[in-house]
Amino acid sequence: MSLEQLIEQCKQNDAKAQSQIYKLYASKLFSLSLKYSRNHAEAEDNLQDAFVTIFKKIEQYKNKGSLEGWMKRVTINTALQRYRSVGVFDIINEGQIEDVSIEIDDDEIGIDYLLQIIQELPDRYRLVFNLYALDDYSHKEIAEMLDISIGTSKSNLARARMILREKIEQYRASLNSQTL
Amino acid sequence: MSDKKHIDRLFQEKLKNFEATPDDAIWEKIDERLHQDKRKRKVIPLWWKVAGVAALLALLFTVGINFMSNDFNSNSTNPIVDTEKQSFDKSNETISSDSNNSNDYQNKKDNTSGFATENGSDSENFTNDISTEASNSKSENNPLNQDKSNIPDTDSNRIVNNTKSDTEGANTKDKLNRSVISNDSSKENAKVNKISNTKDAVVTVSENKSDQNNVNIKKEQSEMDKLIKDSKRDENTRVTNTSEKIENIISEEKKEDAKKDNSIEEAIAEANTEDEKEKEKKLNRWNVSPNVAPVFFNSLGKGSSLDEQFVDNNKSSDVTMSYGVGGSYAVNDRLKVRAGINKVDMGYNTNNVIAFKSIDANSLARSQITNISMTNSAENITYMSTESLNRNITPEIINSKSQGSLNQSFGFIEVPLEVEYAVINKKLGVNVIGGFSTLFVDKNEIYSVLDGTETRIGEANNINNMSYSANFGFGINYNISEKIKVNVEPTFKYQINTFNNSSGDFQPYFIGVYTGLSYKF
Repeated sequence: MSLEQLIEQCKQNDAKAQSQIYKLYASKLFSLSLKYSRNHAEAEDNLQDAFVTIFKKIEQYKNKGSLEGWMKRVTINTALQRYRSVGVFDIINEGQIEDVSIEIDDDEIGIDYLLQIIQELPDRYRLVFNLYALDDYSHKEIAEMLDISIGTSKSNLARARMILREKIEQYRASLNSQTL
Repeated sequence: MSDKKHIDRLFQEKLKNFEATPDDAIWEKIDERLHQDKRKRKVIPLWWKVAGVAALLALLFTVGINFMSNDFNSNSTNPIVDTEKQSFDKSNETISSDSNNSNDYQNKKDNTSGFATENGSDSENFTNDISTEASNSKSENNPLNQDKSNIPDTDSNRIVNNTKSDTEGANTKDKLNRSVISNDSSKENAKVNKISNTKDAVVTVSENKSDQNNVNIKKEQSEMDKLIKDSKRDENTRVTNTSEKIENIISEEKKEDAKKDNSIEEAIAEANTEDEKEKEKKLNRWNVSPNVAPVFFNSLGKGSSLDEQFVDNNKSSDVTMSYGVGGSYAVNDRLKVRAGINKVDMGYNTNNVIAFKSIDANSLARSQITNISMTNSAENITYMSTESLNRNITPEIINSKSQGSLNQSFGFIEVPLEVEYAVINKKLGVNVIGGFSTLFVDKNEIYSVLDGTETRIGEANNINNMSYSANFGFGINYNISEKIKVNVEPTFKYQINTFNNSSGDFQPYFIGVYTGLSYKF
């Protein structure tokens, strides 16, 4: 059965087709949710909300662009919605910092750890870092999506990078101390 | 810049192929949410339908029972009040006659006692009184007897509260006491005896009545219960059938998702999906149908709603009209629930009746018909059934009278609630109809028809304000177009509790051939 057929059936609220679509994309969207969320449980909630929205609004998907791209956007929006409704975006209102170049040695650092430190970032840093660094959104887009200025977006990104670098270095140091 | 990209790229590259499999429970939750919403949305209308019908039934029954019991009280107390009054009169008067007898001479002599002044001062009046009393008491006994004789075969449902009749008994006593006191204190003892007798009589009669009627009501209630149970059972079986069917389909289709822990939920869900399919197939569930019908009223048994003397009289029915509008809701292809409102008039003639003006009100044993409240102008006219007269011994003046009839003309606002089942569901359809109607009296007149002239003489006092009918009918309909049908529905309606004091075996029913258009939307 082609994807188009599956989509058509999903539009009829067909449970079987929905289940197949879910199986095809669940892990991709779950990893995406994990990156945008504070923890595993929140990521699960986000995934659930995202899929419900996807199937309810699948009629709005007009076969322009890939289904996966559309579903990812829905998932990201669901995550943003979550933090928007909580109101975290207003919390951080610090002075902007300059973008700095951050270099890091590409050595063996576990994915789990990277994910962990992303999740540990303050909400907006995490979102901006994810959007910009991992999902190729521009600062302009991010500014619109989060209802912040472009400058704030850039500043948040820089802070996120700094925090991440610090954490990676700490991690590396602890690894080294262990090996020593 | 290359440095800056580095940390981003580190994450990009590392996380590019990162995929995490979510817990299986997530999909279950998503599925539930997607289809639970649907369930909810569809369950509500279904529930509304069922609950709506149930509520309507409950409402009608409750209101009906209330009304009925009210009717019982008022109707049955009326005769009792009458008897009381009459017995009060009687006792009052018998007392006076008593006192006459016993103190005849004294009274005559005295002329000063309260009695004498009350009743008139000379002996002639006394004797007069006595004679009227005698005749009165005779006629008064009749209703009592009638009541008694009605009790065993009566289909009118009268209820009498023991307490009520008791209090009324007490009232009588009070009244009597008062009258006694006002009358004459010297005869108190004798009178009190009489009074207590009357009271006892009244109470026992009413108690008998209430017993009988309780039995009747119980019977009726158990019948109602049975009906309700039956309909419930039907519904249940229907639901289980569908659920079984559905379960089969499910087990074939989704083996992996076979978590049918709760068949009820699924049954509902499936019933809903079926519902939905039906809806898609046939969206026009509602029907509105104005109708008109010639109506023929009659009784199954030989009897009269007017008076005992007319039981054997020849009766005839006028063909009258009923018109109204009904609406129906198609539960499925074949079954419809319908309700409506109709105006129905009936005309029923009691033939072989003679009428004459009574010059002397006391010359005849009875001058009134039990169940007719006469208008003032008609009060002096006596109506009699010729069936009860023996031509050989009645005076010529009566035999020479021309015979006429009494025309009872009454009407109801009818609110039917029926179920229609389509036996044949084609362009030409055949269906069977069953249900009941609630009848509210809106017209109640009695005319005498003598020598072609019709005179309104009064109204029946034994028609209950609210009564019922059990309806059975079959219908033939023809689809003129997608939306419009022509219906012809001969329907038999057996009336329940319409008359509360009829004589003989009076079982009223009416037949109407309901003809109309029904419009689907």
